[in-house]
Amino acid sequence: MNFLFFVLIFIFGILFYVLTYSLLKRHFHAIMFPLNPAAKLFLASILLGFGIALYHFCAFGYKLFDMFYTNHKVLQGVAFFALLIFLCFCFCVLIFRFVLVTSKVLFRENEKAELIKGNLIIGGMQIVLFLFFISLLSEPVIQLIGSILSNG
Amino acid sequence: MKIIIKLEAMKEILNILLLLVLGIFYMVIIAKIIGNYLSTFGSVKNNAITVLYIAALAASGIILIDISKVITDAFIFFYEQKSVFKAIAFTLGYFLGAGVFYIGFFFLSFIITSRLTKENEKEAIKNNNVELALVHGALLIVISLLVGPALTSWAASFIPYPDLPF
Repeated sequence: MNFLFFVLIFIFGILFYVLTYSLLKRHFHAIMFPLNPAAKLFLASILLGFGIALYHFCAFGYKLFDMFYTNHKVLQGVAFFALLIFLCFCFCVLIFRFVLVTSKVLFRENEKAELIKGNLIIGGMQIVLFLFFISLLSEPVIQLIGSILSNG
Repeated sequence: MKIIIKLEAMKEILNILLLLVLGIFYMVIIAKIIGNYLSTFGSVKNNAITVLYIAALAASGIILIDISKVITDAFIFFYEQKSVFKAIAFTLGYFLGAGVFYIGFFFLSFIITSRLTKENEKEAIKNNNVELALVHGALLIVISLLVGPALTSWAASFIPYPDLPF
């Protein structure tokens, strides 16, 4: 079971990161190319944030997969795990968009222009906000998913 | 069936919404207080001020993330006891407590750093002493990481869980 989960997490983890990176690359390259140090730091921190969310979701995914595996429903377990990773991706993208909108409203500055200028205050604030909301909301969102699954 | 799922998941959805809204307020208020204080160091935002500002915000986030586990537990506990008012009151109380604690800790950290480095921190930060800002930022983050779990277990003691007979 552990080996199967290891293979599963390996494949889905790589898929998750490929999807994440291609999405973020498109977003950042639409603003500037090549990226300046502030944008590189921002991109790396966002990737780290996606990783934190994936870590939390995978911890829950392990329990879920274990439950399906002990009930001899491996395929269903794989399907639910894939769904969980997809939900994790959607959650991260949502928080990313939310942070961009929030910072636009809060700072009343064009955050794209500030990023091009290499303004570390705005970039740093966005990084902190993103990591903060990802860490704050991951567990409650997992609880919500668990609650929906147990009732469905 | 769908309605039952919706009702059962309502407490989690409400919890997420509360955390989201109060999280924004918490960060905005903390950012304003820290920003206003740091602006007294000098009108120009140099690298040292930027480092300290970002580290201070990160440390405030660490404290709240630790306490958020208790906030969620308290909210779900009171919601299941059918006392939504208490659930919201406890959530607000924990956010307020975390904010007040962090602001106190932030100002105290200036005394600690000044004692540690034997420098006039205000002047040093004004003169763009990034090393000092990094030391201060690291102190804020490390102490927040250390204090967080203890603060969480103390905060959890306020939830009136029923006593178990064993």
